[in-house]
Amino acid sequence: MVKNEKKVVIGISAFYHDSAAAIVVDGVIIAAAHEERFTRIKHDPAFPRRALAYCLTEANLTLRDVSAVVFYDKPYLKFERLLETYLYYAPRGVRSFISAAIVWIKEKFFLRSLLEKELAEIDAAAVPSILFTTHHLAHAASAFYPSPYRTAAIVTLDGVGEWATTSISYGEGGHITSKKEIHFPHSIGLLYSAFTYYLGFKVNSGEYKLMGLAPYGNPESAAVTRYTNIIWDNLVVQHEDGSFALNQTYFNYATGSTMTNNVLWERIFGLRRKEPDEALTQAHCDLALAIQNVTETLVLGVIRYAQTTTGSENLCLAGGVALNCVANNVIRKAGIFKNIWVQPAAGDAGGALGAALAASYIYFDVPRIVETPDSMRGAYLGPAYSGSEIEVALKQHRATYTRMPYTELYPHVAKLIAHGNVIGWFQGRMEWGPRALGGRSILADPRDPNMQKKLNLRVKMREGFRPFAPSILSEHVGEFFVETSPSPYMLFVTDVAPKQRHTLPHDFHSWDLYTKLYFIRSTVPAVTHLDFSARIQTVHKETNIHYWNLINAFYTETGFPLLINTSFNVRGEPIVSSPEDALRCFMHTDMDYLCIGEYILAKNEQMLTAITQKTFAAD
Amino acid sequence: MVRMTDSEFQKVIPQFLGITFACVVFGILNTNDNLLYTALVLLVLLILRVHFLYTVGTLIHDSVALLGKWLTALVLGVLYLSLISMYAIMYRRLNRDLVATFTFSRTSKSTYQDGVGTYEKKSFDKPW
Repeated sequence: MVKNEKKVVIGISAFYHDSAAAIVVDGVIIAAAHEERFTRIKHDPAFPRRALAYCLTEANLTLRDVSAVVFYDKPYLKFERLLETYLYYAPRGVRSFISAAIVWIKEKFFLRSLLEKELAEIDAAAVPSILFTTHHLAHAASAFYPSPYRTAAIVTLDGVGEWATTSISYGEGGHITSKKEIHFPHSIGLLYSAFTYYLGFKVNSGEYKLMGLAPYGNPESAAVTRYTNIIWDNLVVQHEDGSFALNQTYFNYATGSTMTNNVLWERIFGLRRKEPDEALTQAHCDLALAIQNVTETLVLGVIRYAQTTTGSENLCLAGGVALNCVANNVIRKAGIFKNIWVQPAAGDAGGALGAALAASYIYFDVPRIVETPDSMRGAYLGPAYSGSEIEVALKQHRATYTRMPYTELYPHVAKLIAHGNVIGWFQGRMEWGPRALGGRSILADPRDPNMQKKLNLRVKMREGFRPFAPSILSEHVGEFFVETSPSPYMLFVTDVAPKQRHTLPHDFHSWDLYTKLYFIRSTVPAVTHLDFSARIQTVHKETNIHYWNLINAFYTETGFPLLINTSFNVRGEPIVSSPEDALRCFMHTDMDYLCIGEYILAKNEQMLTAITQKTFAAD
Repeated sequence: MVRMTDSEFQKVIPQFLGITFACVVFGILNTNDNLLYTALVLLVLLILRVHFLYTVGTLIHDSVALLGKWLTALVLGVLYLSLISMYAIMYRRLNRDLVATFTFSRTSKSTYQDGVGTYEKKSFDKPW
């Protein structure tokens, strides 16, 4: 029987946001997927029934083969935090406490039963044992175990888990030792989310928009300096050892349903909270830049202390804050650690993978094998579709298509991109984590100065200020960017190389937001942000041969070894998972061609009524 | 005025109060530190719960007859909040760690807390 021979562990993250499932067999990551990709509900918090079913199918196993299912946090400790928070602030916050307590009494106290019930629906006779790991151990495990390091300092930074918001650990072989923690309510993640909220974006999903907005702030302005000083003088303090505290007088998240005390914030910043649909002003951009700067300082302080505490030269990072690729670059440039590795699904979904890995190595004592460049398989851990499955889906929706072998497809698609077309690119296994990495991507020409506007407004249907990221052949990265170390998961920004830049007018920073945006700043304007930064993905032949070949064909065609790569979805929609999702998204946006496997579809040859449009809530 | 039946009182309101009370006690006794003690107290609470809840239920029942449903709810709400507030004040005074966690201090030297050390197999078994 398989059960006695192999240690098959399933990790689950659920019931908060971004639920996911992952399966690990004898320490090897077989599959991992976000539930939202299957249910088509963005940030779906429900039990990951479909992601779990997919993981089992991918591993060719059933529930009977599973050694344990591991949940990514400890619910009773979380409730203890809820209760003690209320007791500290009582009677303030009674309303939010009662509403939370009702959910707990009805459901979350009985999480083990709830999980057993869900698993019983798959196979009532084979419900495996259920284990629990702490939230930050799940994050730490997701960062350390797949990394290429035998020993490393592990730093996790997020909103909040049970009590911890920040943790410093040390990983050695299969063991993880927790060294230090910072507890709720002091949290870099919640500080950043508070500004996300105040600038009119949605908490737990709009943080990356805030990060993208920050470069529009004027770094030379008195406003940015003033906002930065206000934040340090009123909201947050950082001690000499890098630890920090947030002044709760200015925040509302511990006792209310909002993030900030808007009256006090308006008083200190002289700026009222931006409504979601309100137009952006320079003041909003300056405030975004100020909090980005403060966040980087806070993160650096913790990272320095982690190095002192562990003495390691390797750093592993996870937790939602580790998705801040601008801060990650600051860490890299600081040179505190020689090597850095970040889990591509650093947010809560990644906790599913971390929980499974933690149980494999700590609970089941599976010997750890360290792989180079890492054990993530390029983060292509989701479902793939065969040629026949794709063809069935295309025929079902009466799509008009051409099939061509890959050797012809690469130069053909490269030519289409070079002529200004926008391509939906659907190849192989779906990505794990929030970034599209050439499995489910929308691709375009980075040289086109109008492409950012076209993609934002007509394809992605989102805010015009949002930047786009480049995918570049790993062999050529030094020709276009300053930093040449691998960035396969789009988790670091770097600067565009000086030789590719255009000179900025001396008064550039005083221009208004959109005038600045449409100024051509480099030879690849569509992927050059206002501060000459770019969130690059280095593409490696070993992990994604189709994508590498396509970019190489584009290089042959144009002399430019890079493409714009943005996720295959529209605003508010999860990244596409199946051929049908791709077809639907393609048909209802201004994409010109869709390439699924070896099949190419031209928009102008399709019947528009063939597939119905789905509407998605604003993200 | 719509009156609630005896069974409604004895089922709904007391259960709500009882569960909330149990939760408060459960939270106060940090489950990390003393699991056995927590389990014993919960057991005692469970036994006492029958008498305690019945008494509360009867009291509320009589109040409704005298004051009406909404006024009773208001009085009960104020009483409940006052009790929790008094309890919280007392709890805060006794629990210095909690106060230290939540307090914002520029003069403090550090907000780091010690980690739990090396994670062990047994840490996976329980949801706490």
